[in-house]
Amino acid sequence: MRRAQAGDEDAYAALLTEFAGLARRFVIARLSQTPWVDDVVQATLMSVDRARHTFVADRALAPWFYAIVRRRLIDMQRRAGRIARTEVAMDALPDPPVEARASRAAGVDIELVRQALAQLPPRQRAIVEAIQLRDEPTRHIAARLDMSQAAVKVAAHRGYKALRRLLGGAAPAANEPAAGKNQG
Amino acid sequence: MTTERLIAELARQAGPVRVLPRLDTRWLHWAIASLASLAVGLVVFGVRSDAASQLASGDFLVRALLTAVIAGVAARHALRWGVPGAEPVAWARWWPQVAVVAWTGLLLSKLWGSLATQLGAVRWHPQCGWQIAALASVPAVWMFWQSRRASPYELGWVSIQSALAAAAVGALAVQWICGLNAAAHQLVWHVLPVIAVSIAVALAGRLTLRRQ
Repeated sequence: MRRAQAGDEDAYAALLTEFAGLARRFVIARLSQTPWVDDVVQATLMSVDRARHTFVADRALAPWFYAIVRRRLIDMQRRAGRIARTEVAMDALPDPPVEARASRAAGVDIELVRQALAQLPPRQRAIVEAIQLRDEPTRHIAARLDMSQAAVKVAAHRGYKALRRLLGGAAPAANEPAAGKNQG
Repeated sequence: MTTERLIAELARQAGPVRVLPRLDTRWLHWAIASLASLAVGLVVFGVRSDAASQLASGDFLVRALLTAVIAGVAARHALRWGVPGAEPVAWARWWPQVAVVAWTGLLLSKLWGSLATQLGAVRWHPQCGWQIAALASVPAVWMFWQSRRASPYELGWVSIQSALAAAAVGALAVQWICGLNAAAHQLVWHVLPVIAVSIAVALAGRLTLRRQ
């Protein structure tokens, strides 16, 4: 850990690999196999990275590390609970209404939109896709990408502007998705 | 992103970090900053004229000791909450708040039997409240700055303990400034402002911690 704090890349990678294994075992021991074990492990690693400077060499490493894992596990359980209360899991997405399909298909070149999307910066594209294609709430996106909700909305807004510019202003204003509606 | 890729990315971006000083060191720095703020407050607002004689008063010393204990313990708890794995154990988390209850109980015990009469006779003396708020500002800013440097998860705990520590420093200082020893005055213009300042500072501080 001391070497990792000093900026030793190899030592840090080895430490994080070790931590990932420990975190995975910790989560599975408490919850068995859940779909979001990897999410907890990755959130733990990111927290370890942010809190690296708080580890003091004369203290034991285990309590420091497991406090982080426990915290991330609780956060994920809370999030899963919130999602379970407000959302219904479905194996397949329902078909959109016929009128909606017709209006979407009319006048929109899907390939062109795909190309425009591909030109966006990666993070901006991820946010636009999460909001528009997966209908993911901004707070979930913010948590996943480690950003504030405001930053997610700003990035989404910039993404829409860039898309409109790339599509030659073809997208009608009324169709512009509002990031705010996804605050859920 | 796979975990392996995340590890590689984090390791690639990792530079040397400035390790947080030890808890005792940070607590000592806070205590020194608070004492300096207290001393400046005494110079600015003036020490009460009977300060020397109060040193022989058991009642005054008990109140001073209680506020000092509240400040010290709350500050220590706030700093501990900022380091993963160093958080206070569950049964010890409320100690500073228990000390505030003890302080309030001590004053209420002196008003026993004539509570309404004595509270009704309390003079309007808001300067004690303002002075507590003013003298709490430096310890509060220092504490939240330290908390931002650490890695707090329980922002509520960090905020309320930091705010209480700062407000208690203000109350400790005002004891040496305000010449009114009446229990009713102490309750209305010293204890209540400490609670109010704690809540206000905790709410504001929590926002600053969330924005880090």
